[in-house]
Amino acid sequence: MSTVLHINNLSKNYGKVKALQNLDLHVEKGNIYGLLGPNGSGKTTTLGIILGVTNASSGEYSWFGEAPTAQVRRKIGAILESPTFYPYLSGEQNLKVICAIKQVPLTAIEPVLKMVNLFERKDDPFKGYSLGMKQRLAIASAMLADPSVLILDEPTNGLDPQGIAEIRELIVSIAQSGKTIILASHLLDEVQKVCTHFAVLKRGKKIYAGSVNEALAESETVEMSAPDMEALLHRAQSFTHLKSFQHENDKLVVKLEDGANVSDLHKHLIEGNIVLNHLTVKRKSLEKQFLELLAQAND
Amino acid sequence: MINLLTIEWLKLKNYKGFWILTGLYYVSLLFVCTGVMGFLYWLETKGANFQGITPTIIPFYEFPDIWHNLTYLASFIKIFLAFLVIISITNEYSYRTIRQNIIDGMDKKGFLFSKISLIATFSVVNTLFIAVVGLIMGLIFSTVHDLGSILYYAEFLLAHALELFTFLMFAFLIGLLVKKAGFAIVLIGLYSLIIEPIISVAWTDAIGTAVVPFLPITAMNHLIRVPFQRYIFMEIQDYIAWKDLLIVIGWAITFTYLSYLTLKKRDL
Ligand SMILES: Nc1ncnc2c1ncn2[C@@H]1O[C@H](COP(=O)(O)OP(=O)(O)O)[C@@H](O)[C@H]1O
Ligand SMILES: [Mg+2]
Repeated sequence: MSTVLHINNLSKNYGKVKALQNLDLHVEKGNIYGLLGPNGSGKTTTLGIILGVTNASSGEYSWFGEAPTAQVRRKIGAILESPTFYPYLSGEQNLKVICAIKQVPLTAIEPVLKMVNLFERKDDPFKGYSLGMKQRLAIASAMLADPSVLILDEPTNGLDPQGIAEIRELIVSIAQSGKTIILASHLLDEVQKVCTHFAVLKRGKKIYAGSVNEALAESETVEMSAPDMEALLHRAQSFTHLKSFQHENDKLVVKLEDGANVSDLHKHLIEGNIVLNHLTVKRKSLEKQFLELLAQAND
Repeated sequence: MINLLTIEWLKLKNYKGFWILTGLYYVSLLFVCTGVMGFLYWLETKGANFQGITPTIIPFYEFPDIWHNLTYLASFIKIFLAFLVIISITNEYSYRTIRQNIIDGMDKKGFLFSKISLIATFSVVNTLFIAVVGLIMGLIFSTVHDLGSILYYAEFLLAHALELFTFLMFAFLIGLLVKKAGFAIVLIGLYSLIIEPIISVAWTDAIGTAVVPFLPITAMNHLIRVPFQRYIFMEIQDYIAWKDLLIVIGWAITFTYLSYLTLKKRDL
């Protein structure tokens, strides 16, 4: 795996406000990396710095292992906060400006407009677009230079449910094409649905970083019962990847170690000729964990 | 540089407000450059005369004096051109497109150069405009038409271009600093039409006399001095003084550098 973004000890102060404190972050190629945190936690500040528009107070970052330059930014597609375009220009004319900046041929415009379903409206002025259309134009503009990295800051903010669904679908389909995506959001559900990795920010500090699957797996509990409870208890105990083992009422409740999964346990039971009449996997929602994390970090 | 100018062109070419203001400006400039004869006729019908001289015999469009006369007059309406420059930078702030330009892959120097190339274009186009209009008016009204006379005072055209460039860079810097078009326009107007002229008239002690020529607006005004007393047989400065030239160039560099520092230091 190659490193796309490396952030080292980055801090930003606005006067007395410590918007970002000693942030370290590592994004690998192909990650869909969520930057999660409540409003005001420093997500936009972080993205502003790595996109060259906010001056860091201290610390450094590198893109693709190189010191950041304007040239490098041309290979990154990014939107910070709300979509920003020249309101009096049409969608297509706006993209022409960006083609000139990124030095890509004008032929790049049509495919991205079609991808976000705006080709029919390309000649209408940007100021007449709905918020959803503006957001989609922003994604089109970010995709213009066929970048290997896409940065999205609260891309579904303010949209209606249908708009939210459209944008998420778009992000997922872009992710499947192998691009690296960095997504800032205060919505846990969004990060959970879209991301492979995430970091949690709180008041400018990173309080957690890891893969979404691991975070989910950490809290998986498996609940089982069988006509022959004795045999089930016996067989299950011999499964080597258990973290905890409890017999509650008429059910067996176990937690699995990291890396082990439910189907391995199930296979182990079948091989011991155990027939189950009940099996549920309970995931503590990421939401609960997120709230717990935020509460823990309360100082 | 060509690419930077292209970017600026793409931003402006479909901007109605820009073309309306530009159109109005060049119509005014045309009026200023061609209307003097009419104005003199009007003065004559009102019975005006200057120490016994009837206005219409003033050879305003005579080569080579015409360049001095026209560039002097044209500098009075440069403030309207400054509005265009102010709008072109404050819009980038109110739409936040300056931030997106940088994100998309311009560097701050590139952004500044794209605006400078716009300002330089304005200065050059303005000067060419005056050159063409002056040439036509001169060929119509001047009594001499030889190339030597036509080109003799052409340095005033270059000085006009420099004066305009410097003033527009000043407007750009103010627009960049205050980010609001209305506020910037009021500031520029107040400073260049009221505050500095008052200072330069009122500050007459030894220090004032030494300092005033170095003030930016005064220095720009000194570059091309009032030409009209020549028509009442008084002496005028009919050349560009090195000292004024250097001061104005110094201000042009200062405004450009301060703009660069502002862009570099500021979060977008
Ligand atoms: N330009 C600014 N001036 C002063 N404070 C700012 C500025 N931008 C952000 N902040 C502060 O920095 C903190 C982080 O803000 P931000 O990065 O926008 O958070 P997020 O994007 O996670 O909502 C907040 O406390 C915010 O008020
Ligand atoms: Mg934000």
